[in-house]
Amino acid sequence: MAEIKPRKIMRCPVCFARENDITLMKDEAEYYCIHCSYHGTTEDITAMYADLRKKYQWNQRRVTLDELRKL
Amino acid sequence: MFVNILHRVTPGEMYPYFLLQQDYVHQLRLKVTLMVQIDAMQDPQIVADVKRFHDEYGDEIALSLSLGYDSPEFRQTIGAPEEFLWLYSTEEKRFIIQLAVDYFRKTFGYDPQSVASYHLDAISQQILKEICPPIKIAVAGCFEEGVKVFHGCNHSWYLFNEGMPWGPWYPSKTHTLRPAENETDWTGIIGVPHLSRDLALSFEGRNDFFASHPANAQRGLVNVGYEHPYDYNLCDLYRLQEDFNDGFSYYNVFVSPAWLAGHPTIQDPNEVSQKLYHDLLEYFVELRERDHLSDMYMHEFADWYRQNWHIGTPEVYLAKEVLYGSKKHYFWYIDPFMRVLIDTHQGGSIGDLRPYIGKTPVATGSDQKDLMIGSYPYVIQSIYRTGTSHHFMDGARTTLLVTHQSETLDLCCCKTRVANVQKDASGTRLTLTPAHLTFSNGLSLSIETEYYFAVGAIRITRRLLTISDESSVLTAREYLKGGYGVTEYPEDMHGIVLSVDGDQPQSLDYAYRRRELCSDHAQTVMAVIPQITTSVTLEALTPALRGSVVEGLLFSPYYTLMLDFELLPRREITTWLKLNLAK
Repeated sequence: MAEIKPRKIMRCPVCFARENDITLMKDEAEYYCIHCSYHGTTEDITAMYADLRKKYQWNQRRVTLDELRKL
Repeated sequence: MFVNILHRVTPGEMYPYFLLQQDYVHQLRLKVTLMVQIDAMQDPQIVADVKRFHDEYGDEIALSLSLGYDSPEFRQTIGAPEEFLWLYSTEEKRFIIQLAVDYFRKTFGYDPQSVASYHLDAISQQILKEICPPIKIAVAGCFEEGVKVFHGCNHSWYLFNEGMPWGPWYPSKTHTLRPAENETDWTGIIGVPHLSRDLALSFEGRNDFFASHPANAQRGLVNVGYEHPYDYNLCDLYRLQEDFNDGFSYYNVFVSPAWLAGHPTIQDPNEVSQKLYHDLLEYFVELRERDHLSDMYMHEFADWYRQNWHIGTPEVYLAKEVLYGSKKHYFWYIDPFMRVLIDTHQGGSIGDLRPYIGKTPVATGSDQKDLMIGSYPYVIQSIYRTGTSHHFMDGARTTLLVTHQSETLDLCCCKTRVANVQKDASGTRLTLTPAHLTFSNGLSLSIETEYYFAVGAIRITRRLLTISDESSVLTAREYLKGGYGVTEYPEDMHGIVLSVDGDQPQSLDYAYRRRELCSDHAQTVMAVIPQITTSVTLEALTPALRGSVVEGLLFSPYYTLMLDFELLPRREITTWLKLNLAK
């Protein structure tokens, strides 16, 4: 499958970790947050998103109805 | 499982994505209800498209009351626009509803049978039914949307709508989110939630990350690109509820076009959002082909529900957490007198309790005392109001405290699970797996908890199943710490009266003094909360050693009700938790 490129609009990964949607601003060098002091590049942010997803240990696991009954 | 699919007919730059959604459902031969707003009805091309969809595919044309009021009449009469219908004054609600219904009649030549609004307050429902009697069903609330979403949207999304049913319900005339007790109490419109939410994760966190809306899950970073098994897992969790509700379950999907086209909270490209939505629709078709799912227009479902689901019928939901992989169980129970959440990972404590029996009247609008807060008040909400102690003192919750010598153990610290659910004409019984406790001297025991849900009351039975030394002396304290409120902030507790009966009957008026009243051989301990016209009582069925009530402080603004018992091998301790109307 082709690589999926992130969109240019990004949410702050630090604020997202607090379940808060804050759209990042961008200057010439990088993205920055006006709600907290986070700043970073697209690569930094994408890596932090990947870290955030680690909490969902079953995000690639299909649990069927029969399995749900036994769970 | 019954499924309603709803599409919002959105004019402007999002319109092509609405057409894309329509292509999906038509290719898959799925039934869809189209929510048309006033501004869309002023566009001849959109009206022609919608009529064609109805004629060629049978799509239901329905009325959206959520957004898009813009029209010459609206600008001339209302002028200053509020965002949503439920926030206007009663007079303005009447004007807008009449305007919208008139537009619909003029445009399509008949009356709508279905409407949608994120929250449709009881006043609006009654006006709507008066102006347009054929209305049968409304999207009338977003399950547990309130404080957490308010925080998550940077304190900018003023939809406070907590304490409601998770599935279809008969809204009452004094609070849209309270299920009606009887026909007289009912607004005449069937309510359905805006989406089907994850009943584990929407309690713990934002409901708009975990719902029957693939793009909501994308917002929560739940998918990994095109991989999104959670969307299917959640659908199957709702199918699981058929096991406990006489074969009934309901699921709905209401995705606006903007979610498929560059929504600012989604970092995936549009093609991912579109594919994930299409995948979920394809799964519906797969289930339909196996006779596991029936897609319906909203008005069709309203007819089925009215004929088959009687007012007052209790409903339960066994939530199993399947995204973090904790396997945690939550058990929900709802009837016209209460909504209860049992948190099995805290020993089976009550994590959320809404006393509908108090019939607290709430209406939103600029002319109402509640303004934008449409939630039904809680007496226990353990997420907002501390729950078990993990920083300072504990907060709103229930538990069993077991004491041996000078050591007390708290059932909230034990993980349990749902062992059995039995729902029949005699009521609903929930049995949990035993909680295992070990004291520092090595004494170990296991306690089973059973809940029986009746009218406005919960019978709590504790059974000492095993104990390593039967000669040990143990006491058990049935414990309820409550408050009241609609947000995470405490309300004024003045006016609350606490009382205990027994050998030394006493009462006190709440004054934040942390006074404690104790009485031997008490049968009942009670808090009367006039602010929400509700009383909360613990009543001993097993004779109690004593009962006590404790007032709170400004730094710990709660009331505590306690009953103490001897805990003996092979014996039960049975207590009623009763909710009542109190004026």
